[in-house]
Amino acid sequence: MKLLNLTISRVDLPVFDGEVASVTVPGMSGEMTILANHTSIISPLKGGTILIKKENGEDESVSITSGTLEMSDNHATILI
Amino acid sequence: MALKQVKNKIIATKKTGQVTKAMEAVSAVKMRKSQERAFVGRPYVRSALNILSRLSASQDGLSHPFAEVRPEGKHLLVMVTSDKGLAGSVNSAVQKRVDEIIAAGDSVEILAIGRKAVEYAVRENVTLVGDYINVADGVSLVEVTSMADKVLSLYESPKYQKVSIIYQNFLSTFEQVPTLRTVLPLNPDEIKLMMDGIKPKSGKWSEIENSVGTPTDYLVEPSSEEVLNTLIPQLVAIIIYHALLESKASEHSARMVAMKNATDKSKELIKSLTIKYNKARQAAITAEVSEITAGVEAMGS
Repeated sequence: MKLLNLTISRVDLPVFDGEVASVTVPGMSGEMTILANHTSIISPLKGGTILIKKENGEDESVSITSGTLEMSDNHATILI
Repeated sequence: MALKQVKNKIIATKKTGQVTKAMEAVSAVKMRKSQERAFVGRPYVRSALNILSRLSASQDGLSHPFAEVRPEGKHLLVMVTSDKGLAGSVNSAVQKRVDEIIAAGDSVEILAIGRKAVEYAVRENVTLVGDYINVADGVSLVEVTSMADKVLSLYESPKYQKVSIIYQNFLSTFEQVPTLRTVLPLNPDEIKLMMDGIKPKSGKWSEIENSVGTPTDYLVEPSSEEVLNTLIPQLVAIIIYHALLESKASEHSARMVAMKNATDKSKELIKSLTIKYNKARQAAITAEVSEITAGVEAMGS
C-alpha cells in the first residue's frame, strides 16, 4: 500500500512529520479524507480534529481551530 | 587628593564592569532561546509562502483585492524595534532606513512595535496608527493575530497604497541587517525574495534547501478567493510573527556583543587606572622619604 507524506506544522513547533496511510481533515464543506496520490489541492480548513491513520493501524488526532491544507507530489502539508 | 580620586574611579569602573558582565550573560541565554525560536518558525514560514507562491503560479493567479497593485496612497510601515536600548546599533539601523524612506518622499504612517519605534515616530512627527510595546520574548500567536488584524483592517481602506514591514533580520550573532519587505499587496516575487531571506548564513539550519516546486495545477477547494480569504490573514500574521522573532534574536545578539565590548573596555580601563594609581602612590612615598631624609640630614649637620 502506498503511503502519504504528511507534515503538520504550527509556527512554534512541528506537530507531525511522517508517512501515513490516510489523513482526515475538517474541510470548509465537510470532512475530507486524503489518501496517497491524491490530486493536487489547496483548501482552507475550519476548526475540528485532524485524524491521522498510520500504517500500523494506530490512530493519532490533532485538534485545530483553523488551517490550510496543501497537497502536491504525494506530500500533504497542513499549516495550523 | 588625586590618589583618592583615582581609587574611587577604579571602584566605579569595576562596578560598571560587573553590571555589563551580568547583562552579557543574561543576553547570551536570551539570545540562544530566541535564536532557537526563530529557527523553529522558519520551516513553517517557508511552507506557508510556498503554498502562496504555487497558488499564484496556478490557474487564474492571485485574484483578490489584497493582491491588486494600488496606484497611489500612503505607505503604512510596520516598524519593529526593541523596547530597551543598550543593544548596539540594532534600533538605530532600522531608524536610519525609515529616515531614508521618508526622505525619498513617501507619505509614511507608522504602526510601531517596540518602544523605540514609538519614540521614533513621536520624535520625527510621523503619524502613529498603532503601537505595541512590551512584546514578550516568547511572542504568542494571539498577540500577533491582533497586530495582523489591525494591519488588514487598515489596508481595507483605499487610503493606503502598500504595507511594508521593517525589522532586523538575523544572519548570525555578529551580523544583522535591517530588512524592508512589502506585506500588502501580495506579490509573488516579493514572497520569493522573503523565502530566500529565511535562511541563516551558517549553522545547523542553513543546509535546508529552498526549493519552490514546479507550479502544478491545483484543485482549489472551494474557490481561489475563499482560499485567499483565509490564507492572506494567516500569511500576514506569519510575516509579522517571523519579523518579531528575527528582531528579538537580533536584539539579544547585538546586546550581548555590545555588553561584551563594554566589559572588555572596562577591564582595559581598570588596568590603566591601576597603573596610574600605583604611580601616584609611589610618587607620594618617594616625596615623603625624601622629605624625611632631608630632615635627618639637616639635623645631623
